[in-house]
Amino acid sequence: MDTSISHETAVKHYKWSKRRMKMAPYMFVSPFFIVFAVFMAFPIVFSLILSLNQWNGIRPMKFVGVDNFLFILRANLFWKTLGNTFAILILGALPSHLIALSFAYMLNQSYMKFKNLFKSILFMPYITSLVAIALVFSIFYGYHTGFLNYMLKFIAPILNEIGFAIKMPVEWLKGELTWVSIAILSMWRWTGWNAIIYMAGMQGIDSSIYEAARIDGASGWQIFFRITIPLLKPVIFFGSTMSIIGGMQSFDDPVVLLGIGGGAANAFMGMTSSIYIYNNAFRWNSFGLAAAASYVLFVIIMILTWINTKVFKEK
Amino acid sequence: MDNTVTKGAYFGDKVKRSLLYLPLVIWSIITIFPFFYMILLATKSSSQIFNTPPPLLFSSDAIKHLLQNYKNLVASTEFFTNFLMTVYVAGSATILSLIFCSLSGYGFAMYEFRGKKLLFASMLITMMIPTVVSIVPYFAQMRAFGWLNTGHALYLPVAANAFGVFLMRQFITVSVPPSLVQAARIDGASEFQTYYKIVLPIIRPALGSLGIIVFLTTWNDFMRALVIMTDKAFYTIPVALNTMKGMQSVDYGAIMVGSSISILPIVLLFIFMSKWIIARVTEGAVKG
Repeated sequence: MDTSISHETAVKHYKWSKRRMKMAPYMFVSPFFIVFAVFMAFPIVFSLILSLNQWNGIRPMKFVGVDNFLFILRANLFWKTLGNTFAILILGALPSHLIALSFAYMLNQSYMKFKNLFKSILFMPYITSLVAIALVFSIFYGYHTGFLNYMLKFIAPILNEIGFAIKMPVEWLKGELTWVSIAILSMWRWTGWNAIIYMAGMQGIDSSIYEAARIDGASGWQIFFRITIPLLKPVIFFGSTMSIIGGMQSFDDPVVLLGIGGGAANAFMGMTSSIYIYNNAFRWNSFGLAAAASYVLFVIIMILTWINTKVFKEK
Repeated sequence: MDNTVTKGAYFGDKVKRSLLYLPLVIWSIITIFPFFYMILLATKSSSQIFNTPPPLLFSSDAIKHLLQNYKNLVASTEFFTNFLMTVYVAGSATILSLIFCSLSGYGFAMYEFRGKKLLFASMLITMMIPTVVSIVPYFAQMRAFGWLNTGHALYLPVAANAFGVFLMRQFITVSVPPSLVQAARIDGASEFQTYYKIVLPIIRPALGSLGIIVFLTTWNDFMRALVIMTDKAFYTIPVALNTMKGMQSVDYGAIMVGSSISILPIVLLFIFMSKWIIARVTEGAVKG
């Protein structure tokens, strides 16, 4: 170090660097927060204001208090779309997580080969455009010449024999089956992702615990249910939370499969909450109702996540 | 223990173990099949697509139909422009969010300052609010700015990525020792130099995770692009593809060519870097 610096310059330098330390964090944080304030915080606050006003997007807003919320809570279609969204979520996410857990457990066994290959394949759906994939699925689900109905032709007689009568051809995008069809697509997309998250979680479990259990004579099943699952609880909590938040906002795939009308010709069976909100704003020109509905959806997602937290804390 | 029994058990184990591959292989086939089918249908004429039985194999006229489908695609959409728009939006979103999030994450990780807690909390709250909540005012705002049908209307909001700041802050807190930053200061580096020359190289893996996640989500983003891009010359690929499906006579062959082109860059990237991408994205998910 240079010892020839006078006391005066040292003090000056110290003061300067102190001021520098005070200013620096704001310099680092401000670019983000300027964009954040304009494009994130403002729309969210503006949305709350909108929810209390009647607005068709062109004429001046008219303050209506909580009328929009009352309308939404009384609107049959809102509840119907919420039911659709929830049904698709459960039908898709529940099997997806069960399959993902077992896949992760299998792939985590030391004797399994081709781990990286399986991981890569499992991960592929996550990186691809949901719109592109939903377009392929819409051909699978075709009524007359769809691939699924074609395959079913071979299986249907067998199913008939064992007592599951199927009316052929199946209308995959009609009635309650619409939920199943969208749920299958969401399973296809998320099971691999869930499995990889669970694998990462399982790798974090200390292998000596498994060793001890094996020495005590525990079977593979016992290890899975008594050790892996309980220790994996935080990861399962994370995975199910992501599924709830993502699933309750489902938009892309039902829009591609059924059109932006959400299957209007089909009693709106494929209309999810997000599609309902989109329609309110951009097709029915009631921006206020759309904003109110989006806040109700937000509260419902919060409640579901809270229930999920409770489930994982109790046991 | 009797030797033969051990051998028998060992054999049984082996059979059981190889049976474990069965569900994985079946699921792999289910996973890959839509990709295969997409490419297959891209090489089929409309009448072939709706044949009974449905097409399952490439035929000898595959190239001919593929070219025809491509011609139809280019004729009915502005596909080339749409593709460039998607590249432009996803690329800009990635670069901007890497800059903004790493700067801000560094600010949160290394400094104490007034308003820090408030800013951080306000950021975390917005992470929990669904996209649909802001979609309506976002549209009104962009229309007021005169930004409908512009790329920056799509990528600027992505740059305000709260998750990214959170990820960066976590990573910097864990992997950059404050003593290192202090040492750089004593050596006379400015605060920005410290960030640029010392911190950025250390957090490269985290920049990788965030970059991949932002690029994928923006590339595939549908809802916001659907709202902002009202003129078909400015569509991103997902919007263009969906619009084709809504047309009077749907040309599935052309749609499948477009879909294949839209996923091709990402799948190719993934094939070469899958190990790295999986590690980065799961890191982002587990740590974030």
